[in-house]
Amino acid sequence: MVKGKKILITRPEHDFGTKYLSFWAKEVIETANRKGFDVIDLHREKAEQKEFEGRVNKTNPSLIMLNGHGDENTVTGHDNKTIIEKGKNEKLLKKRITYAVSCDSAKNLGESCADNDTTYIGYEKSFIFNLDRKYLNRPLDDQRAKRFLDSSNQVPLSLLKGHPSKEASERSKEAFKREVGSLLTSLHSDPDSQADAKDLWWDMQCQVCLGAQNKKL
Amino acid sequence: MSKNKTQKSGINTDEEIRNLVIARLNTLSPDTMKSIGNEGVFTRDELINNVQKGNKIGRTIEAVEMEWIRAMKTGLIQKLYGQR
Repeated sequence: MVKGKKILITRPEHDFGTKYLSFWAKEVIETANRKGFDVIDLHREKAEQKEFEGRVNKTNPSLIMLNGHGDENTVTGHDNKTIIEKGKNEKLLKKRITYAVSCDSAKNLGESCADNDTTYIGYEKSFIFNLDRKYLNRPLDDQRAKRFLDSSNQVPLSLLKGHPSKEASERSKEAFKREVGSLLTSLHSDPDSQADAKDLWWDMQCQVCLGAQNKKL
Repeated sequence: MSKNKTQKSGINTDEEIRNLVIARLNTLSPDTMKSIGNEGVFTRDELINNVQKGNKIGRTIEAVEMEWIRAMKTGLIQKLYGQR
């Protein structure tokens, strides 16, 4: 049933935060390709509003994964230029599942577009992750960032496996929880692990699934 | 409680939280960096500086600490591992 289904991913890459998100989104792209989805990858300069609007209208993706910065009303793309904004073009998200890995956007933007046939999974407050500066040029080798971004990736990966939206969010939260549990053991009593546990717990608490709870790809 | 006493208590609490957060940040390895959405990516020393200033970034770090303390107080271990 996957044949012909499309997913669209934005991957701005203009600072360390977006670079890490972009690198980790590669796993989602690879999994989607392997499962037979068509992937529209808006990478770097292509992660901008005009390109985004054109590709959504033309390809009608079932899943949109937005990686980028944001606030309560917007999610941005490359160079922090707005891609989607409440009251302007949020209708593009209607009848789809959106996962926004960005700060605050679930609060107003997500609330405004979520309905019985539209899911918005995102964060009501800041999405925080820790990293190790030794790996700034090799993000995928950064084991500290991995704890956060692997847990976050469980949302799209679960959706690609065919799970409904609410379950995808719950699976992601379970992954955050497992990481916290693992860091609280005596094997990980160093201050860095304790700090990571706090931030993982925060992210888990801030993730929400709005609108259609049983929507599948 | 009188108004003065309440205000005094509030200030003390804010200061205590700030001092606790700074003390914990000080124990992090120097290679630690924290990405806080569109605010940016910060080194340990920059985080401490922001908490000392009490700006938006500092307040976010304090909120994370408070959320963690609240979770510990309300049975985080049970939440993680379920009732046993």
